[in-house]
Amino acid sequence: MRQLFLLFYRYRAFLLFIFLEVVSLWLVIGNNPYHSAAYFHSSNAVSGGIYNVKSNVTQYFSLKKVNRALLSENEKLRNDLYQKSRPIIVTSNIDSAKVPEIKVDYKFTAARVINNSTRFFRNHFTINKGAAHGIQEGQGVISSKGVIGRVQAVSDNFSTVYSLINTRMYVSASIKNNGTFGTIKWPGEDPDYIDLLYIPRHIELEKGDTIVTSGYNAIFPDNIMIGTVSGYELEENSPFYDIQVKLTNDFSKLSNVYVIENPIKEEKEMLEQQNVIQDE
Amino acid sequence: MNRIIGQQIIGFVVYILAQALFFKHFVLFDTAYSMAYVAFILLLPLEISAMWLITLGFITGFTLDVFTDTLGVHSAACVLLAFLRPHWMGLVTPRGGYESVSVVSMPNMGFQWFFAYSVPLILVHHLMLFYLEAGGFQYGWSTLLKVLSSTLLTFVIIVLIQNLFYSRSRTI
Repeated sequence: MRQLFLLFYRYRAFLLFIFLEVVSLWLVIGNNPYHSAAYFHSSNAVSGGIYNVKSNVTQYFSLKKVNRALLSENEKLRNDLYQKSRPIIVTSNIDSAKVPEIKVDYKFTAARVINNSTRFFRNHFTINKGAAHGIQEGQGVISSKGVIGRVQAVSDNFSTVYSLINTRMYVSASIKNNGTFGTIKWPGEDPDYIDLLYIPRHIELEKGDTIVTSGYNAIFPDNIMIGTVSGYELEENSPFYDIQVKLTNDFSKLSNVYVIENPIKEEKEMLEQQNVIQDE
Repeated sequence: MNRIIGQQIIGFVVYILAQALFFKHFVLFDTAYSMAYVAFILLLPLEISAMWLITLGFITGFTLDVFTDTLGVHSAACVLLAFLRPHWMGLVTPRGGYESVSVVSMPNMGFQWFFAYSVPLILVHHLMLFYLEAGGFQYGWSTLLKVLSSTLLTFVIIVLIQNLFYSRSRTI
């Protein structure tokens, strides 16, 4: 027994090395409860606070650009509002044909990006709103130009968000003019381009087609901009196109964003799960 | 002794903050990344035990992981670097051995020794870091290019830091 302890003692550095490597790799693989724990992400109070201070200083350098983006967004919103407020001509028996409305109140919370990465394969950013402002894990995040991510972890005042340009992130998308839906996934190379997968070969495509969210996954409302088709290929034996989409967002310059809360998300997901069970 | 520990703690905070706030964004041509914080592990005092070295390597990597949302990636690379450091140091002995020096640094040991000592260790650290981050070998060649160019950039920055902030036979 003594010999055994002596042996352990002699190789203690090596054993510690092996142990810590295993711990690290286990953390990398990520099938563990700590992956969505806020302490271990940039949304924790210390690193979130430090990034917040840094962002408070550096945001002044981009004020002009941010102002312009907010102005153009205001302009667009005003136009939409004007069109909606115009009276619609009511024809005779429309009241009897009144369709019961499905009430979906998406709630938007404005936030600011205080830390961002675009150059890795798994990119994240940190925003300055957290659980105290009603943000929860799994909610969608958009900017005025379109989809940018999904909330990964939340602390009281900060949240870490999976960027859309993260090789582990999938978003349900559709081609706007014909409604065909596929999946958006970042291939891990250029932060300005993303792949659209699973568009069958009989669909007619054109460069410049608009790609928007499909609204099937209950994280994003439908018709939120993602990008435009910049190129596509159709291999001879492949059932699907290879489509490259140019993103409308410049991910290196994110600043003002909105977190989307969908109050009926749980209801929808529960219903879908029940249906799956009944199908079997 | 207490003074040395105090210096190292300040050094740790400075390196982590510099990496998280500044060096993280210092990327050349989208391929060369600067991981200057490895200097903290490379330049720890000579007499430190292997156990402490590996533990500090893990703490350094893990702290940075929290800042960059790359849970486990920097930790794994830093633990490997810290484990290899004493073994590699035994192989690249400077002229006159280690008796005459107290602090590991370039001004103390000369450029040649520092090059031979740090470049292979930085290379191993970056190999582990970038392949883990990529989640395997599917982006093999572009990852290798990143590793090689980043090793060069990290080394150059560590040399510059030492010339600017380190004086002979003292840390920071």
